[in-house]
Amino acid sequence: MRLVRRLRLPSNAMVDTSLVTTHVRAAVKVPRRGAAGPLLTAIVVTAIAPARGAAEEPEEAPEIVEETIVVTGTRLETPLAASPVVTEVIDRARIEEAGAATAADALAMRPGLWLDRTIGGTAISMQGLGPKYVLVLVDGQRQLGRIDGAIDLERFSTGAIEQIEIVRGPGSALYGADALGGVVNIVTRAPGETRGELDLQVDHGGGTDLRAHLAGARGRWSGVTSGTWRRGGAYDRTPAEASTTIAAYDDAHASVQGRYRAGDAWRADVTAGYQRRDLAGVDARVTGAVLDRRNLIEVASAATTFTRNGPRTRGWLRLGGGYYRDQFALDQRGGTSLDQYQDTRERLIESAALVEHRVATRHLLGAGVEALGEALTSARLSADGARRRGAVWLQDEWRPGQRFAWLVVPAARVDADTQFGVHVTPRLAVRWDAREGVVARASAGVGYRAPSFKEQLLRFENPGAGYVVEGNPALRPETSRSLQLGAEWRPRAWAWVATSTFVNDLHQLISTVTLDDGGAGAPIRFGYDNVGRARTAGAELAATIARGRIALDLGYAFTHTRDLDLDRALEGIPAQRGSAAVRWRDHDEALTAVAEVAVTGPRPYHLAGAMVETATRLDLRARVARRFGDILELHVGAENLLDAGDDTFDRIPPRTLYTGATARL
Amino acid sequence: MNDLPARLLAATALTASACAADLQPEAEPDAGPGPGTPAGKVSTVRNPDGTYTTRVDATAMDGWTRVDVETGVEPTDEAAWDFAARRFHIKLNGGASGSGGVEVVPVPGSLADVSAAPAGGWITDAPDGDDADAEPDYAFAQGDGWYAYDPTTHALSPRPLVWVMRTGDQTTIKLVIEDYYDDAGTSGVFTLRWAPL
Repeated sequence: MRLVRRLRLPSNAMVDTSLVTTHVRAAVKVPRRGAAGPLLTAIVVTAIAPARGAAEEPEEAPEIVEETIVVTGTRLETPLAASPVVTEVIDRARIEEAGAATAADALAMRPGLWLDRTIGGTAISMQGLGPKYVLVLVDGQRQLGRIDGAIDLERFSTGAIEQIEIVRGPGSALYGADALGGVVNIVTRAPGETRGELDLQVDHGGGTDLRAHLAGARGRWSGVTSGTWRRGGAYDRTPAEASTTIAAYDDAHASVQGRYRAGDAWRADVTAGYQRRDLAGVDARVTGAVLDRRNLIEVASAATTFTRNGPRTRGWLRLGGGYYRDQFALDQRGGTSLDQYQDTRERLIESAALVEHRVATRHLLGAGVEALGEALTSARLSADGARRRGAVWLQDEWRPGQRFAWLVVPAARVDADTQFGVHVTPRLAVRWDAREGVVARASAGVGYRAPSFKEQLLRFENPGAGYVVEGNPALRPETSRSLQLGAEWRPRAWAWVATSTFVNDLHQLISTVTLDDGGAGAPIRFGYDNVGRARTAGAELAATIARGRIALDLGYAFTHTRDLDLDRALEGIPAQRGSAAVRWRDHDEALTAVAEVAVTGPRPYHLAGAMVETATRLDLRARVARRFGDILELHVGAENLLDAGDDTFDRIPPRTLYTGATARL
Repeated sequence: MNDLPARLLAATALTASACAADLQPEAEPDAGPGPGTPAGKVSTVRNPDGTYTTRVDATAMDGWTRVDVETGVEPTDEAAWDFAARRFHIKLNGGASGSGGVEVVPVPGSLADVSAAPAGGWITDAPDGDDADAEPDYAFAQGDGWYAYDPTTHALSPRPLVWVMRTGDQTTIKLVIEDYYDDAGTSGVFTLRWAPL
């Protein structure tokens, strides 16, 4: 968890902008346990400490407290409890105690999120909207490598992750394209106090996960570096068939970050990372063809960020970019005609700046500019894809009323793209701290998704099957209008309840259309057009009870989806999903135990005009860790204890038992 | 946006990506159809029940593989052919595709169901109609055509039709398309079972 220690002064003392912004007085007071973290989960933390007015009585004495800091809801570091936008945090402690190896593992059990293994990897859906409508960021930077619209969350090893922040609902007013269903921001571990970690885990299937993490500081300089190597064999749920259910993987990742502080207000960060992901599996087709499939994915990224945290003005300037290469090869057994090799390369250059300035007591103005250039090269495209986009956005955090109980946040962003022109995405968010422990929020906004290069420029011909798929350069962005309502209540210090509802109306959805049904001797021609409409609506309920050594999390999500043109449910989205987690931690935190279960209701798929539903799925995992002294920790655990999954819709790893050791210095 | 940062980043990334192997396969000659396909583009064997099985390698993207029904092989005389295949296209030496006068009648059922040539319903390749391509409207593609396309698997499967074919010299055969894929799953390799009528 990103915690900061602050000397807390009376709330009307304008010392720290983030405090002034929110007037937080009751903050999270949690014990620190080395690099681990608090017993209470972040979702509990979410409920703590509603903002209260500056008119309250000043405190008797300054108090040192620790606060969870989030960035996703405002693009600036903000105390979680005071964020104008609901931000769900999966902190490092939760990641470690669950034994999550990747971001996908960390998110898998959350109600309201749905992670599915697709052709593009393990992809996330949110609020009934599929992976291409969810924006995935790492430290606020867009990620390259969407395959069939999805970012593979298994790419992101948790070794370098400090916390994962989730903001549900459209975030285009702040982030622009692709943030219709929500934003997932993976926050990496920042430089700080000197520490080192070495972690080795093996499982009974032969999988190995080795991580190293080192951080240090000297004077104004600090730095951190992380490395991960993971490998695992292929898994075949139906050995009688030639195809594999899950591909073998061999991942390596390294990242480094350096920081220089110039006084109390300024700092500069330089980050760089490189990842290599090698996947190998076997495909078997109904035609009898058996093909060895391999993906060799490389991702490189770098960024420089200058940050200023002044008493009334703060902001940052970032220059960054990324490079993604996916070599995809198919090797037909017994033939060569189906052999394929595709070399897909993406490049992204992103620069952005944001400034937030307090105007009088009640207004906190934020403004940002962004410039983005991206390019994609692929043999499947009729031409190389390239586009540039510039954006400006404005936001005002306005606190009307005498008690500062209301927070009204109008925001708007204007994107100008070289392909689809100008696009405006406004949003209005309101937060009401009704009384101690009760917060209500509402927001209405607009989101959009830019057409992908594939949808614009694809040229794919399958001569064996007689069809052609053609991109459409004239595609316009998909748009959504959204209404979000939510409330959270903390009746006791140990209990917290939250509920939320949402409605998303989507227009101009890009759908596959038949341009020509072939006719005599002609191939069928498919293309893309902005013809679809859809609606998603739902409600979510979450509760946490934490008494002494034990804590219980409960969650339930109901999601209704409808393709309004085809009058049927959207594919692959479960209507119901529930989860529960029980966590135990000793007083001295030497022993931790976690058991998590998620129940996922049937999901609809439309095959050859008929709807089929998957079976209800039950995911169960558990982990126990025991610390010996200050250095060594041993753990054992199990994933997918009930061995859920199949060879069609739920291609998930089988029951896996693992053990490992962590050394912390 | 200045291109310099993009170029620097690309150069850095390319340097980094040199760590990974290049999966680009070595150029190798096309081995053609896989196991189970005899040498030669067209081959015919006689089955114990008196029918014939002809394998036609039509995997080439361009160029037709011609078949002479009488000999069961690819004719050396380019004019002496009855039908030809290119990928999933099948054309007749008749109508808009040739001067051989070959015609067919699609009859629902299996090979054993057909014991005589139908009295009517003969069709041949027609000039290009109002569709996306510039090719003739082949007889084998008229109506529902010879195959069904599964959009989920992108596989073609032959419809249960017997194609009664009458050549220019009035030789009549009944023919079933049994498969469009060879044993390795390569498309464009027809397995035809036929018998004289």
